[in-house]
Amino acid sequence: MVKFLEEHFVLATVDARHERSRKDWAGDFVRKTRCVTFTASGRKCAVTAGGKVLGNIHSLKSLEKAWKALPKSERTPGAVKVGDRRTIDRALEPPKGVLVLRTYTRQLERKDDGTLRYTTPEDYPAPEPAGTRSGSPRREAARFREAGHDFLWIPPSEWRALIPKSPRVGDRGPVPVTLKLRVLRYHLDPERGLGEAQWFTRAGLDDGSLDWIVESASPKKVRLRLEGHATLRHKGGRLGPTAYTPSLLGYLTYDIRQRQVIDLKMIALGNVLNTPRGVRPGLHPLGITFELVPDPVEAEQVVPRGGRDNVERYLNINVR
Amino acid sequence: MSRKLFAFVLLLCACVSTPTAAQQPQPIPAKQFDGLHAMFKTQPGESKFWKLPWMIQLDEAIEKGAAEGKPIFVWCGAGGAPVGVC
Repeated sequence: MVKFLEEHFVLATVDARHERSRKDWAGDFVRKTRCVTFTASGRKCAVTAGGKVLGNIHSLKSLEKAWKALPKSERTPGAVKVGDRRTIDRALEPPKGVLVLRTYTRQLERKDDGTLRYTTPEDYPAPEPAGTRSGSPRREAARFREAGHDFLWIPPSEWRALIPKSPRVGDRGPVPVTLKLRVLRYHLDPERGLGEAQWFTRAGLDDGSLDWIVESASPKKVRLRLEGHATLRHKGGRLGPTAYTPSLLGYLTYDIRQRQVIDLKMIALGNVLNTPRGVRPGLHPLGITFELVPDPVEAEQVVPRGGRDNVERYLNINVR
Repeated sequence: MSRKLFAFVLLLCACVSTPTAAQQPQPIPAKQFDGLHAMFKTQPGESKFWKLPWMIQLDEAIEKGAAEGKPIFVWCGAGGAPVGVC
């Protein structure tokens, strides 16, 4: 299926809210074809550049058949003209100088000896826990067992402030408070991979710590260790309060001559209490990996979940 | 009496040693970092949609479809591009 899609289609992944409201010719295209969702659910749709909807997306072969049934004037490369003189209303991309990190959120379980393992379908309740509405978590376990995806953006003012001016091994200090709060509020969320809700957006300065420690320093490179923890809690979940209490550990390498962060990796690991949406009641381990993307491909430039509703609020964290 | 005391001590020990979300988490040992970092990430066979060359600008995707003579497969989320939250 992956190969078929890549060979036969141009692939677009978009934010329906933005596409519906854009004020350019592509917005007209969207409103004409209704190729994005107008509800709270996601949607897949196949359309031609000329503005025809191709049919049932669940049968890729039938889509191909419908495409081939179109007159050549609609299929020949370059035959369909699109666009006009209006200003293009693009989807948001990372601002210049921002570090883009991919994040992976993974539900876990422990073996009898205490070491971590991946979850199995039997780790999820069936039927759904009382008070929830998400169906049988066990039936959907394949989805929950995979890592949830998101991105972390770090503005240049923050990562530059993170690098000590005269680093000596053992030096220690706190990361910029806005970076710490962005991580606490938006990037330690057990909801990632399950849906779009955010549980800890009210996290404050006392809800966690994140420090840097100089591990090594040379005229060429500085390597920092990042250490911290968080105690995050939200009262109103369907199973009772949701809480996540991870430790944080990471490593950052800064190239002094290039004046660039060339490597940044971090993990969070701790217990989550009452995984959201009734997916897993009780206390379970949850791990999150953060990893710098040095040269993001287009799909790695989508706005982090935390910034979708208000990217300015996400980038310019309010310290309160 | 001594049995009651013993039971109380046992109960107290159980309460103290049971991990709760509110407890301060244990630091992550540095020697476990690489293994855990890799473990939490997407594994082979998972999230196959990430193997595809998604575009995030719909106008550019439509232009490309027109130029190459291909239909456009649009995957949208109600509040964001699905690749970033699935």
